[in-house]
Amino acid sequence: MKKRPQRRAARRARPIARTRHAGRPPGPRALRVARADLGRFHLLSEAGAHNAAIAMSQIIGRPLRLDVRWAKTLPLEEVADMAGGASRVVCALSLKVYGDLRGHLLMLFSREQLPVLLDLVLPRAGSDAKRPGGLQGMDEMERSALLEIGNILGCAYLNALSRLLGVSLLPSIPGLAFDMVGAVTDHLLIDLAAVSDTAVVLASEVQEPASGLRCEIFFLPHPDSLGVLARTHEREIEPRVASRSRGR
Amino acid sequence: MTRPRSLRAGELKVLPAPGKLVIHGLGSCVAVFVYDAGPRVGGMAHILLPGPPGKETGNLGRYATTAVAAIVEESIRLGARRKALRAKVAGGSRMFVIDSGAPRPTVGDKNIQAALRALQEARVEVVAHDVGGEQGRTVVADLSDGSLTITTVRGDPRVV
Repeated sequence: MKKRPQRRAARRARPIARTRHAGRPPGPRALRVARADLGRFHLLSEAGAHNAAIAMSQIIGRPLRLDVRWAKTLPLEEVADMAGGASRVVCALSLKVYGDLRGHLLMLFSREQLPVLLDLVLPRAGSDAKRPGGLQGMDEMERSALLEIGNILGCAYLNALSRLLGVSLLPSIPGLAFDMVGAVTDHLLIDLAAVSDTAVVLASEVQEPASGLRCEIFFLPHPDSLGVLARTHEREIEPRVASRSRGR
Repeated sequence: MTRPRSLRAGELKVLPAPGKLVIHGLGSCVAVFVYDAGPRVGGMAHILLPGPPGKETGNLGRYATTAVAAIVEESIRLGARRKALRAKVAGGSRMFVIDSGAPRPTVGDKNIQAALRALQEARVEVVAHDVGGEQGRTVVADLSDGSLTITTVRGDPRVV
């Protein structure tokens, strides 16, 4: 039991790569995460996105490609930049995660890709009419199809984490918004800012090569839950991901 | 043509005309713009939370209470008159409909209330506001005429 604080202290002593705090030095509430932990987060992100890709490819009946982008810490004010800047317009699906590991899961599709996505999940027989671009032009069926995509991708992602970490994760129902990145990320910042100046972000991307459809997935664990996230060991993760890949 | 200075989450800036300040993609956060039309000086903050947890002193722009006080103080330092200061408030949306099940005030509502309360305490009259709703806003504050231009992904810009 006594070993734990020591281990934490050792982790803290190892400074992480690039915690950039533009214009001001990191404050007392800036999080420091060891490089080894970020490596673990990266593997978790891979496992989550892998599961999400499997789920998505089964829905649309096409193979998908997976791209695990990064796991890193960001000053809160830079979170909107992680997804193309605050003014980029996206279709966002957001899930709040409760349970042993709290956090937010955000799935983004570019504005231009919304019609592509809808065509994949709700193919319309014999109609060549172009789908309208925004949320206003969408009917109830299309809205609920998008929410369902959020549900399936989100739960697939979280299931992988849940299995690897041995913890129970309870996702909220998804929320849907068609808006600017800044507007769809600032509720995350509000949640985090109450306890920290830094966000830990696990970023990955699922792509459908034929249509060019891309879903960017961001998981932002709550700072209080980082201990849960860091307790996995690489050797526990590797074989399972590998065996699943072989299975498909 | 002045290039607007962009304010990210938790940032605050006070400057004289002909400066411009912009916040891209304001969701549940709140923008408070305080301005004196005489010397044409004012500032804006991109506020995340109603008030600081505990006795934190850094990040003045992040909290409604500290941001309003800091803008007023800095504007006066740059030549604004306390009694002539006017405020415009925007933001505080509820971005995701999942939040709508919650009857309690949303984070956006709390931010709006805290900003209005802080302005009232600082005796700054609120002359315009564009708050709430379910969509994000991009707001541009123009120090040369004191206007606040609000754009959403849905429609035409609105000037208040």
